Amino acid sequence: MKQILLVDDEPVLRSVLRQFLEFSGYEVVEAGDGTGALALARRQRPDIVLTDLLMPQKDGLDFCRELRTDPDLFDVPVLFVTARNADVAQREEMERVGNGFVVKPFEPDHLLRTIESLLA
Amino acid sequence: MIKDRAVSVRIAQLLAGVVLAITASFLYPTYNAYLEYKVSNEVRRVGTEAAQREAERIDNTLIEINALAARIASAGFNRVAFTRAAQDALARNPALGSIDYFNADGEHVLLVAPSGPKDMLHSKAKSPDVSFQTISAVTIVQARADLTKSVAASDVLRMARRRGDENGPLNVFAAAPIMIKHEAQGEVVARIDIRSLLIDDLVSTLPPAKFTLDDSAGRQQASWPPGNEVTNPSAQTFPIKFADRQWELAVEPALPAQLAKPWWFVVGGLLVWLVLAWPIEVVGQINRRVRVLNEGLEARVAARTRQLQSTVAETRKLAAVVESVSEGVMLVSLDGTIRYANAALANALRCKTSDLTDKAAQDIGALALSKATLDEIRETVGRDGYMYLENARTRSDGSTYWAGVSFTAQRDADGKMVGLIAVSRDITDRRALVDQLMTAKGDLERQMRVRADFIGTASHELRTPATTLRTLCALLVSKIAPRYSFEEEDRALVGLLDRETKRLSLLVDDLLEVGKIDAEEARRPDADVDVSDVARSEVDGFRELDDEQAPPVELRLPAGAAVVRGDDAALRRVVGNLVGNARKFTPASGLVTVTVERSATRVRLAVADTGVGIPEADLPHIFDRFYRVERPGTAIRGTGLGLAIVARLVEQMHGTIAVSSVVGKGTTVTVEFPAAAAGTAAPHLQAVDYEPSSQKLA
Repeated sequence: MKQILLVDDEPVLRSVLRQFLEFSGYEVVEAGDGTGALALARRQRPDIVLTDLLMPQKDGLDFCRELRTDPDLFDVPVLFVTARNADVAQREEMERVGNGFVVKPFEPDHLLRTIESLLA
Repeated sequence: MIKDRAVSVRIAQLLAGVVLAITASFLYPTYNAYLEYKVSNEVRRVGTEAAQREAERIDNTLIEINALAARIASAGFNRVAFTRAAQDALARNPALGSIDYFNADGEHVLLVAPSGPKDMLHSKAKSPDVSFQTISAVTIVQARADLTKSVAASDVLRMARRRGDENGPLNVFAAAPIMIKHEAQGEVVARIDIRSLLIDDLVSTLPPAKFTLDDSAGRQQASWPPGNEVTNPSAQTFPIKFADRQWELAVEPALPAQLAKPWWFVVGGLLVWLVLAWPIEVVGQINRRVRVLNEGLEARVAARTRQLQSTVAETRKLAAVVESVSEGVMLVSLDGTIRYANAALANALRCKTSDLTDKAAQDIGALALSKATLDEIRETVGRDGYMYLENARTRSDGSTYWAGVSFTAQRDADGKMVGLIAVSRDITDRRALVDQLMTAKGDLERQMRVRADFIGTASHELRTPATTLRTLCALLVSKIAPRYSFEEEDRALVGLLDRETKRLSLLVDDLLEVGKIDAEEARRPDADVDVSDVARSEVDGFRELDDEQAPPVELRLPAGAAVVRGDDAALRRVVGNLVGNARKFTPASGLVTVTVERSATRVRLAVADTGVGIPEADLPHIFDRFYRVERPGTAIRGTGLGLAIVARLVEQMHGTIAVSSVVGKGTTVTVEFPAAAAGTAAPHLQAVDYEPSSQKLA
């Protein structure tokens, strides 16, 4: 069973998404910000990371950059979840540092297809 | 008038001719009289001289004979001596023809001629019968044909006799008695050749003239030419005085050969007339020319005067206009001196025009024109021909108003700027209005910003709950519902929840897009985008949905690329939205046609459907935000933002959008963009082979 690290500062969405992903056949570990997520990732070494872009303390991009410097974690796929009004520079940075992004509000099916394609 | 002047020239010429003719007719006789007088004077002089000279010669001849007689008286007659003495006398005096000696008995003893002596005693010749007249001491013998005391053999006497001329003047003899103690010893008779003595000399000395020589008894002794009578009253007579008598020399002067002829005067007069008439003609012509010029000049002066009068009238009219306009008008010379100010300006400044005129503009505080400002105005007007300025003016009474002043150049006839024309008006009300409007605009912009911020923030805040709801719905449908045996009615409720949360999600999506578009002040990224490529890709996307409820989409593309400048994502959203709309409102039995056309300057994308159509009343509003067309009987719902976003994106890419629709027949939305400049299209786009140009998609 593939393990997903879900990082979001919004607990309700995080909870609902965890249930949806677990129902869809994934093991889910979750964190509320970038700092906690980094520690969790080092401990669990997830198959894929799903992270919000804008978070307090350490945002998704910084978290992802640190992940890329970790010798054990540098190749873990990272999918960003973001708002549509993210600017062009941010999008380019997300594609460069991470492996893709989905824009809120997204259709859950679309999210599943994207995760599947990154894990394939 | 000119004709009259020409006539007067002719009259002047005629008068000159008449005066000349009269002058000539006086001149002609006067000139001739003068010539005659001159000749007559000459005749008088010569005649007088000749008469004196001839008298002297006669005297000399007589003296000669007397001297001969005296010598014989003293020495006695000696044939040889007489002959010698006589020959000497003959040689000295050519007037003497011969000298004879008669003895006391009256016998003709000897004749001495230039040819030699001749003894007359022994010849048979008769002594001439001579009548004597005494001239001084010498007796003059006038020989006539029948009166000859000389010998018949004498040539002279013979000649005289042969002529038989009673009045023949030729032979004159002078006799001088030879007396010794009062006893007559003999007589010397000399023949004097009057012709030789007088006539030849007169002929040679007198000017060409006729003359006669009369003796004291009035008998003609000689004439020239021979046989001539002097009868002309103009003849002059000169006395030739001998010792005891006087002859008359009458000379008729010949008319001078150079006497003037009347035709001289005719020709001379004509020449003089010509010499006079020609200048008169020339002067006349010059006068005429000058007159023509004068008349032209007068006409021009008159025309110019009229023009000036009308200009003056025009100027007065303009001055009246300038005086009466409500705008303040002012003329400022280049050195900043006010040359003119109208009453309106003075009124506006609450002063008199005399307070402004001829003052330096910078010294009139109310005008608020500093020297620097004036310099700038002068420079700008000189360069651009115009300048507009608004300034606050403070009147002398402290009140203020706003003036809008237009400055233009005052130019002279050569177009050189000589001053500034300033036209000002009170724009206080307008300024107040503008201030109000600016304030209102600022307020409005602030409100707009607040609203946009609110929408942005609100929609941003909505995206997470919307995502949560969608995920919850997915869980409900896929995880929870299968666990329970839902009634049909319950499943319908779950479906309704699913659709409405999806719509909520789309609405948040659109709101975010609207907020983003509104926030984008900059243009869409300018890249080359092939409209055909975008249309094909979007239509393929719809085909993948494989929705049996939707109508087929037909794609018509041009042979080559149809490239425009714009943003690929924006163009995809435009095409996707239009095709999605068309499919939504068209039954499965209908058809949606997407057409891309290209001309030299434009690229056109048309999305046509055979759907329900849009009522005419709704057409003007379909691009408004949140405007939704009411379609009774259809359950199709939208956010009301799609077409507004499309219109905004098209506008940002410098395109146009138009819609035409007939209810029940279908709708066509047409979007046009400027074609990208030739050569800017990316090569790989041109290389893509899209065929066929018409493609029907199920």
